[in-house]
Amino acid sequence: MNILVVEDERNLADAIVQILKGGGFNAEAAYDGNAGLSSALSGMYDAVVMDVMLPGKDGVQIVHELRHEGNSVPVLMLTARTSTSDKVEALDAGADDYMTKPFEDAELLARLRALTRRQGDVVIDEVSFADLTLDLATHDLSCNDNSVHLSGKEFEVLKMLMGSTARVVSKQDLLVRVWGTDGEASENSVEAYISFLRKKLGHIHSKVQITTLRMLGYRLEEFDLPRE
Amino acid sequence: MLERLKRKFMVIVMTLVGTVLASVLGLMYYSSFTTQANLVKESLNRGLEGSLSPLPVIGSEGARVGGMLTVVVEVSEKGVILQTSESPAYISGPVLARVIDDALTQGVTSERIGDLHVVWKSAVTDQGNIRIAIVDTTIADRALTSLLLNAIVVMAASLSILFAVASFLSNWAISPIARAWEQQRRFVADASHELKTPLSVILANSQILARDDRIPEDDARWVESTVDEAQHMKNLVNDLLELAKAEEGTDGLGSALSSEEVDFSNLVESAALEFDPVAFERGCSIETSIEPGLKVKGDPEWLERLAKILIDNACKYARTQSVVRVRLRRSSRHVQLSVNNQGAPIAREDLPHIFDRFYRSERARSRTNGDEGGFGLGLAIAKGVAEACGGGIAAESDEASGTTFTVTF
Repeated sequence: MNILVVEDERNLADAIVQILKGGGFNAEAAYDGNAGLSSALSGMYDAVVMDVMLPGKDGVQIVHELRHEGNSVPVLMLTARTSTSDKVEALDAGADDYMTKPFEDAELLARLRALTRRQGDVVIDEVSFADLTLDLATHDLSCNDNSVHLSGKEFEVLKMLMGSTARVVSKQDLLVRVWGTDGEASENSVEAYISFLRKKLGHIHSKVQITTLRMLGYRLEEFDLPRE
Repeated sequence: MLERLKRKFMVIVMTLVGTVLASVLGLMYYSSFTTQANLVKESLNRGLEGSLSPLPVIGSEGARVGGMLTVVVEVSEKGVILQTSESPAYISGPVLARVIDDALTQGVTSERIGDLHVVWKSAVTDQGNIRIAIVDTTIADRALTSLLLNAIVVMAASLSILFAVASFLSNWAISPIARAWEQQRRFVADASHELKTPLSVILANSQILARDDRIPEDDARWVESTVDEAQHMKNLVNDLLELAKAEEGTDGLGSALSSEEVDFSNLVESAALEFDPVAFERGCSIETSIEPGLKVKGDPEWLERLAKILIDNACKYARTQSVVRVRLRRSSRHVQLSVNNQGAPIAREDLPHIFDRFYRSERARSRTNGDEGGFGLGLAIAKGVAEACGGGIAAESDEASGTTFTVTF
């Protein structure tokens, strides 16, 4: 994978290139808008990371021109500006994604991987059960139009439950898989998180409930009757 | 904030001038009133002493005072008219009859008959008859009434003009303040913005080093602490920019925040649910009491931020094993959100300052993990958002009930 980095702040451009290399990509930098545009048009790159504020042409203009020329290379815009209108402007001009500076290296790499995924690659990015959909990337749980965000452990617990809908998942299994060998956790923790999940399921008005089977564990079940 | 200042200014000016004006006009009226009353009294008394019909003599001393129309009659105990004064004033039959009747039967020696504009006073003569002096107060009454009406009209007109002038003045007085605030906000936003690029480089570089296996264990900790501090700075810079944006809405200079009807009940409940695990890990728990369907007009993203800041704060400072209470209810025209936690109270001298930016109390704990200790920008942002959405925020804290933050819309 070849990535083009267009950023006028040299130190930053070089650091981004280094991060990309560390993440398994090949990368090169262009330090101004015009050089960036011609490199992008060359077709040598699988994706472009572009700063919005560039001397000469600004990032949004460049993307606009790229698309005008019929070039559909995926573009990730990078910028210090955070307002919604800036985001909308960039995405409308043809960018595929938008990230703000300063950024976490892991996030940059994850987004680029998402952009460069070849069409046809099967990617499992969500799990469903009855009226519930769990987004594996964002950790959001939704039921029709309602959604709620799950924390790390809540997500792991629900993912386990949704992955074993035919079987019962025991407290012990949950404890080991989600909390690992962390000596701090106990069955109390599992019970607490199950109760948090139940509250959230109620909040999004899902018909699914987490049923407790004494001595055995937990199981997701769908109910058509109104919840108590 | 500036609107409140303007209103205060106008109220003070109007009250001050209004009070002065009212006092002056009031005094004038009062003095006229007293003068007239004295004139009447004197006329009555003169009528009761002296001869029945003294002729008015222009230019002589001791002449009748004031030109008040006076008539004097003498009646027997039974009401038979014995004598009446003659010119320059006459009195109509019915009025005289009424006066005599009152004088003999009412048991008072003086009376004012308002609707007839007449005042009378009686005295017993040496011969056992009753002498009654009757004064016509029409002119006096009319003068006073007109004075009162004029006073009212003057008052109303001056206050209206004053209102217009005060309004103009208050705008003129406030505008340098508004400008200074705008500049300060602009500066904070610009400075934070400028910091972002070098910070991006530092963060990126230190993250590269953190993943470099060739760095020996002993040195790795320096890299890690650099990454931590760079991330801390990133959060601070983002908070500063958030704060600048949130405050844009409070001085009426236009704002980046959108304004729509938000289902606040749903939002608060969502936020509370998100903090369940956080609270659990910190050893406390969250209890909610939310009236459903309460709506607030404002920006949904920012309102969510507000709720989360307060709940996060409460969980941070809650005593272990205690309960954080989140309550949302409607009271008359307001929607009120209150978040309470049990635990060490905020010192009374700190309480008025906690919404200041980066406030550090005298007894703040030193920054150990994350940003405990010092109040950071969270509460300042919360206040900015509350005010931008047309509401307010207040805090109470004591040993017994812990700390409670209340936001009212």
